[in-house]
Amino acid sequence: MLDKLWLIPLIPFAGFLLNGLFGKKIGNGLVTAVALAASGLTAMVSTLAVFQYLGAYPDHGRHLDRVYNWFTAGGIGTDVAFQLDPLSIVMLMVVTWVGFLIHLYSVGYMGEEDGYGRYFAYLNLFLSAMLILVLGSSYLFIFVGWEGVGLCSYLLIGFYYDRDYAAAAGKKAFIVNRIGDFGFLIAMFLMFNYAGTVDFAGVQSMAARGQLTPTVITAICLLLFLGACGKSAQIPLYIWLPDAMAGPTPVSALIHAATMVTAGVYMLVRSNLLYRMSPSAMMVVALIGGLTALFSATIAVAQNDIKKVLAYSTVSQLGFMFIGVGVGAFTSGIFHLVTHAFFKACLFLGAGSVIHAMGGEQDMRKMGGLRKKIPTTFWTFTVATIAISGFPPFAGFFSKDEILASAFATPYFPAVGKLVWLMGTVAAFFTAFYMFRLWYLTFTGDFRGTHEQEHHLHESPWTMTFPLQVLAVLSIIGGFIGLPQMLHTPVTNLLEHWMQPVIPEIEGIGKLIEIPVGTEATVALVSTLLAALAWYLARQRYRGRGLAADLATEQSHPGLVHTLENKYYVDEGYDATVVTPLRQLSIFSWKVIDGIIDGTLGLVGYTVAAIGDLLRFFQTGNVRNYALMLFGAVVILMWVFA
Amino acid sequence: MTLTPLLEPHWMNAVLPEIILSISGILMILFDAFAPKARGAMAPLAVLLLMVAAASESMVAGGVFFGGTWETGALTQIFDLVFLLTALLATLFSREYLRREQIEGGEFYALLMWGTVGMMMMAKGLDLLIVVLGLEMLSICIFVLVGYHRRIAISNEASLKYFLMGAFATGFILYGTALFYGACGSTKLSDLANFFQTADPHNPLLTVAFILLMAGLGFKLALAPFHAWAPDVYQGAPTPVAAWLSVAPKVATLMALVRIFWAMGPVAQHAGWMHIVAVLSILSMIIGNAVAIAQRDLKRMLAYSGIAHVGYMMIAMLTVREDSVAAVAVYAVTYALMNVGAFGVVSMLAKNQNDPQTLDDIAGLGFRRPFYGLALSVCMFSLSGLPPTAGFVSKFYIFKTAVESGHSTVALIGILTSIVSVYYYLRVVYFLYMKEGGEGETAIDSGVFGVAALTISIVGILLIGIYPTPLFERAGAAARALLLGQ
Repeated sequence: MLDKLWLIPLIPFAGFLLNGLFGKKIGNGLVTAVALAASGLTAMVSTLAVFQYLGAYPDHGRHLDRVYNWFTAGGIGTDVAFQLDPLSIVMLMVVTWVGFLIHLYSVGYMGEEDGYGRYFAYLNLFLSAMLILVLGSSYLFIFVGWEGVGLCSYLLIGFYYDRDYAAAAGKKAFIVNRIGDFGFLIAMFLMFNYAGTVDFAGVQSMAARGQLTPTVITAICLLLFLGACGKSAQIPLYIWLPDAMAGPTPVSALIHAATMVTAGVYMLVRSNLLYRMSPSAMMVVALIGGLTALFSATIAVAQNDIKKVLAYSTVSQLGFMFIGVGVGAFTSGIFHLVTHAFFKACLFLGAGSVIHAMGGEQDMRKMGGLRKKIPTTFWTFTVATIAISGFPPFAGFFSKDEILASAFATPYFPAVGKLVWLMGTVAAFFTAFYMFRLWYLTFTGDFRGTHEQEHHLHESPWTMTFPLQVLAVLSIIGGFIGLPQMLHTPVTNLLEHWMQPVIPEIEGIGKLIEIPVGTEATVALVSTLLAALAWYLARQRYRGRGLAADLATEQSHPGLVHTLENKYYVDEGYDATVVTPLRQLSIFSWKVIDGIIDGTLGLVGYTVAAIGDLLRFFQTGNVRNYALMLFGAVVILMWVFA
Repeated sequence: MTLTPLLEPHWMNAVLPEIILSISGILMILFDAFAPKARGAMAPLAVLLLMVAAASESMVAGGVFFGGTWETGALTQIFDLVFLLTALLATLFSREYLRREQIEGGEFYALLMWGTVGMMMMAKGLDLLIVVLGLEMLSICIFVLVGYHRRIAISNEASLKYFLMGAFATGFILYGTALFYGACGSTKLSDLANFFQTADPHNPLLTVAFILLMAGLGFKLALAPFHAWAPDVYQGAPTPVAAWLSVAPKVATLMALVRIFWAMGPVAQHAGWMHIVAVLSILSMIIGNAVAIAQRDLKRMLAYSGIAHVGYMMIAMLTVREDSVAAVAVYAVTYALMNVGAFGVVSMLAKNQNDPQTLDDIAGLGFRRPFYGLALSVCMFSLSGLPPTAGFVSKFYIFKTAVESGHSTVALIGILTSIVSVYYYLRVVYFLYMKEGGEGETAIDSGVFGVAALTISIVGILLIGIYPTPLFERAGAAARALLLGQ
């Protein structure tokens, strides 16, 4: 299997082709079979490959499977090559198995929708691109997957294209991502130019041997981070993710919570050697991560759409991962990525189940008291809520606290580290608050929807509840792969040992974090207490009372509530500062620069025309003006250059 | 003084494709004259003849011919094949189009062939006069082809515009050539190259000559600010002609520029002439991409997009060396496949030529006509440079050589503008799949020929994107052979 790693992305691609080409003809049953077979098979093949890898590489080194030379130009080129190493394996397992669960869930969720075949075709294509992303062995090759997942995200967000906002949201996501891609591309050109390669190992070894100047490394790191900001929705490029909720809910779970949006974190951890050589770049990452975590957690507090809350929550949690990466705790970043994949996928799928039960309603103001109607959804959602809020011993607690403790103890920039820790801790407080607000509004109190909705309430089919149960269990035990030192359990810090070959200790290059036990305990205690406080506050405000407390706040502090509700008016700000000017530039170039023909020169032309009837023949067209423009350009060029 | 024989041995082989195409054109006209009832067989015949010409490329002898005015080699072969490919695709798309518009005639195919001969002359000429001769031969064919739809006003207007503007452009080129002749006493590129070895880079006369030449050739390239004719002419021309016009003449002119820039070598760098080219390139990328955003008419949008793509190709021309010439050759192949493919789908839209074909006409087309949707999407992804299409690797190659030659700023602008361009390319896909179409059919059947042409486009784009090595290697070797004689 190890020499056939290309099969892993190819299997879902085959599923995409089958369902994409024949989806309409073969009927929903076969579409389901193809899609599930493709995603299940690729998960099993991946697992098999991982076992073989464990046998073949007891030291957990890098396995490279070179397929062919993609292109070589001027002596420098890239291979189409796949690699397996501890980091790829973690990502591979999360992507394939969570991916499979969400495929299964989609069978129930999308069952009554039009475009069933189209949906699964896109989903398979996404899986294929995502697998190229996590298995590719060079920056340039993973860029193929990087763009591919972006494209699928665009297609799936715009899946309900008959709703205008969905199509617009898809376009927004794609375009914002392209800004990030710009950074990624420039970073690759820098690598080609200064390192002569874009292979992961090649670039890192060039850097480790001191062949790259600090300026180049910092530039590469910052540009890669720009790319990560786009894909992983960080300030200032996070604006597309909340809009992306226009897509079907399983898509939000798979692409916009568990897998694609974590690609940025993955890439940064992949490049950890470069980052460790550039503390200033790391500081930028940590600060942006901290700001994003805090900023979006506060927005989530005032959202009433159940998916919007979870969307801002995802942005915030991704911020936590970047804090981890930024302060030098790369393993913690990946750790949180994994646990987040479990509990956030569970939350999104649970929200999907709620929406399904409510007949498409997403507004929490119309929910309430659902706990008895949809019991399985209720308990899985509760587990995931506790996990994300950071109560021990659930998954989120261990990963989040490792990140916060690392921020507190970071050797790279101690003062800024404390600041980032503070931002993270406050964000964690808000996280627990908005999650329990959501939980109380949705599941407790009286039902606030219509009679029709109440009548319709039902638990989802097993294809939907089964993935929920699996993910809920994982949200409980998922944290045990990274139990902290201080607990003195027999299996301490499994993940860190596992990841060691990817994040090697190298003489003279930024050291790894040692967290003193005292710090770890204090940080854990503080955040647990804060989470408890947040839960208590949420309980006081929302239990059985619906939104009464929020309405009261809105009356006493309308400015604050509106600012939060409108997400600090960031979208409006972008419209005013970027989108509108760009559109104006386009129209300006068209009407003015191109229109010089009809303007100034046109005036000259018409004057000439007025003199002689001879020229009237040409008056309909702009030939005269075009000629003047040609002539004018030549005169200007001569004037400037000759 | 010894007299060199006027014709080298094997001279016939050096112009074999040209001879075949010239005769083929005559055959097409004769066929129409003597068997007007069998018009249906004309397009297949034209395809066959073009393929014969392409096959003859393998028999072309390499070397310098006709007293040092004509050079054939691996690179000209690649360019010839691009011309033939473009003509072939245009012919395939023309069949249904011409039938629908009821204007099919032998001279249409003949003009495409003769125009191709003109381009081959431009690409192979080692003398500025040969280049101009080829250019004029091409231009005359273009005038007629653009106005081929003679009962339609905008077609006539477009033809007239191109004719008048083309006359201007030729004037500039001839003036420039005359000034170079005045300075060095010859129009042969080899003599010019010798002259430039010792020429004074700050001689304003030479700069003026260069600017005049660039303005004239820039017109043929639709390089900003000499681009103004392009949107009007593409819009008015029969769509398959626009497809051909938006690619082949540009590629031919680029090949001529490769030779001219290479001959100018050191002086061009010292005199800052390449700054002029850089300015034109940047202007093209910015104006082309920015204005394309505001277009709803598909052909106008593609016209502006084409202006931007010439801008990208000019980045690689800033320093002529093996790698950059290879990059231009690769880009030419890619550009031919994706641009002609995109125009091809537009030519299948059912609207009358007189009306503009806008984005509304392709709303929901992806569902009504899945094959057109697929083809147009692949072309758009490639034009916008998304992997794994040919557009990505080709653009990457261009930018990479530019960065290596030290033109980082221009490359940066190129990357930035190409990111902006995603907006309007993606909008096409958005209309294809995410908009409800109106009542009624907006596209016609493409027939076997159209399917064949679109298949060539799609397969070519994906093949080059996924496995570009053979093309890259061939282009690299050809460029080395041309520049270094290896």
